[in-house]
Amino acid sequence: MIDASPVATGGLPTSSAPPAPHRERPDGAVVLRLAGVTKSYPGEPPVEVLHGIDLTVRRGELVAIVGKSGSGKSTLLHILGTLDTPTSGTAMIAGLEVSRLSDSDLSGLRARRIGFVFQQFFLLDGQSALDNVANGLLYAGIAPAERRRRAIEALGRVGLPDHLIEHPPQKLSGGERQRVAIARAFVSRPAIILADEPTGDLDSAAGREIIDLLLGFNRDEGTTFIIITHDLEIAARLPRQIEILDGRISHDSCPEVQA
Amino acid sequence: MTARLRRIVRPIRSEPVPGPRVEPSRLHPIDLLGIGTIGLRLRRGRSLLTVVSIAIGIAAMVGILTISESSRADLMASLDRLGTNLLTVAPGQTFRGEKATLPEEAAAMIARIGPVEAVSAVGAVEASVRRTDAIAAEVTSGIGVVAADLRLLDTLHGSVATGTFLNAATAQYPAVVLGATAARRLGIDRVDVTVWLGNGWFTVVGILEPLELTPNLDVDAMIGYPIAGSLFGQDGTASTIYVRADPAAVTDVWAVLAQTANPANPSEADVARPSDALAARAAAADAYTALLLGLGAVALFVAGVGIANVMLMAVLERRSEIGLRRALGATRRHIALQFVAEAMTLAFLGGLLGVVVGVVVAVGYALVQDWTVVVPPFALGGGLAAALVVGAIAGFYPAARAARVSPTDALRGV
Repeated sequence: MIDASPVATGGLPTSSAPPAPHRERPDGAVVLRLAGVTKSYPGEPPVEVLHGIDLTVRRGELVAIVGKSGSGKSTLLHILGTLDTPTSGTAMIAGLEVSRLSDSDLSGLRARRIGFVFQQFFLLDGQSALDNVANGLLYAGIAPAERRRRAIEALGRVGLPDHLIEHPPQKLSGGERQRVAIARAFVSRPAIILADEPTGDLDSAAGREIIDLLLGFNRDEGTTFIIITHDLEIAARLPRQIEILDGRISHDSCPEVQA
Repeated sequence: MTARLRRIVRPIRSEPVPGPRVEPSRLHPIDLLGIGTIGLRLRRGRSLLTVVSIAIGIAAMVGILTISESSRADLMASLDRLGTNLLTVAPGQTFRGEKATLPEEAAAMIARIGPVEAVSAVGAVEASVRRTDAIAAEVTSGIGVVAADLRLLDTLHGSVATGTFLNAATAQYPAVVLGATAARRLGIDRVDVTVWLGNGWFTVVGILEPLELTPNLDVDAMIGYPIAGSLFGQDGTASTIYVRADPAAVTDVWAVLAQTANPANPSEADVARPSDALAARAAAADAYTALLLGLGAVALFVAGVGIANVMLMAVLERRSEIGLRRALGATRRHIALQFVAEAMTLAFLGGLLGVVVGVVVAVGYALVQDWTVVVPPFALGGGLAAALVVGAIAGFYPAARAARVSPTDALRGV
């Protein structure tokens, strides 16, 4: 089957065309579930950032989370990524209840099942693009040579030209850096990739390419994506949109997915 | 078909099916070494300064230990060469505080003690020695005159630099043998010249090599007992008796020496062992070494505080890296280990540099002093170990701080 709308995406080898967003309901297993999650920070009075969030995400879903600054989007993403724990309520990630896991288990979960993409890329300047990608496997107990091999593969997958893979990040363009960061998130083949404003520091063309890349991974690998964005145009390209307002889900385009 | 059915049915369940337990996060030790050097490579100038500060402390300690070992080895070699079996007997003080004398037959009686190998005596002579009679009698240059018996040089294991020692013939005549220092002060470096001794000319027949165990004889001019008796009225009493004992029985000889030399008043005879002075020098050097090592330890402590400071700064500067690593699956322990590894790498490099510099400086110093160079292995190993311990301690607090950094704050706060 040939895609109807081929668009150049900056030399992506395997997913050179953006996939047509599929709106049908995913029938995969539940990979994320929040039930009655609240998050508050200590203070006088305590600041409650999230109030009673219920959210279920199934394998292979593409979810956009939109909302104003300070609405609690990032806190929600951190809880989904096990970087933060709910004050109350339960969070199940990949079938495991987060509150019952030790630091080592949670870290293992992040090392193997969860990938992160950040607005500021967070690449280490002292290392080449290749080493930065290999860092995605550093804490998964994989030998250096194998990390390197998989990192080269992942960099090929995100379409970073071969001559750039030994370059330090500061010599790459914004779009190239974000490709490296996506390769790092993807290199461990995680079930879920959480992206916090992945196009926030990029111009619109580069931003479009990055979203095309993520959609390609979703289509080809079945990776679940949860993407925080300000950009409503980007959100509209994803099958499911969730709007957060004042720490609550104010709108969910596919509420029926919630069991 | 069943599989497809199950896939459809599963989402309807209210609870997600628990997946297999997740494998905990892991970091290979070799990777720890790799990430422990990232910070050093990123901030080379700062790392170099920290390494140098550690190196100074370690170099000081290794240098001091090497110098002290070399110096001690030199002293011990001297002791071995000179022997610790030479004893001296000298008249002390009487009960009333007056200067005592030893009986005339003291030397002969000591010679009868079984384990005594050799005995020699010198007796003080009331005279001064000068280069010529034109020099005033008061200008003695601190040179004393003693009557020496013919076996003195053998007993002391000494040797002549030039000429000969006194013999049965020259002991009868105005002939003199000069100690090394006495000869230098008189400006004499060859035999067969004359010096003005007492009231007449004496011919220099020999000049001695320095006597390391009995340096007081280096400033003496030695003449025979017979001529001392006839010209200066020396009555044959000894001012010092040198006793060479069987090395295995030194303490036994020592115990009976005063009694034998002066049976009537044993308390008026002072017995000493000249080699004790060398041993005391070694002990004094040890005390200095301990003091200097203490100073080196202070330098090392200051360097450790420097490392802790640099690492604390690194923790603040690298918050986003810490957050990122936590997101990539690092445990708190991995983060702490990374910073401890970095501090220990800094300290290890400093230790390595310090050991090299310390040894080079100490070997140079020992060579200049003409000592046998002794590089103590425990100083090398100890230097590196001390550096590593300092690094580990200095890195501990910053590492604990790094481990406590909240990943969410670290990833947000850029």
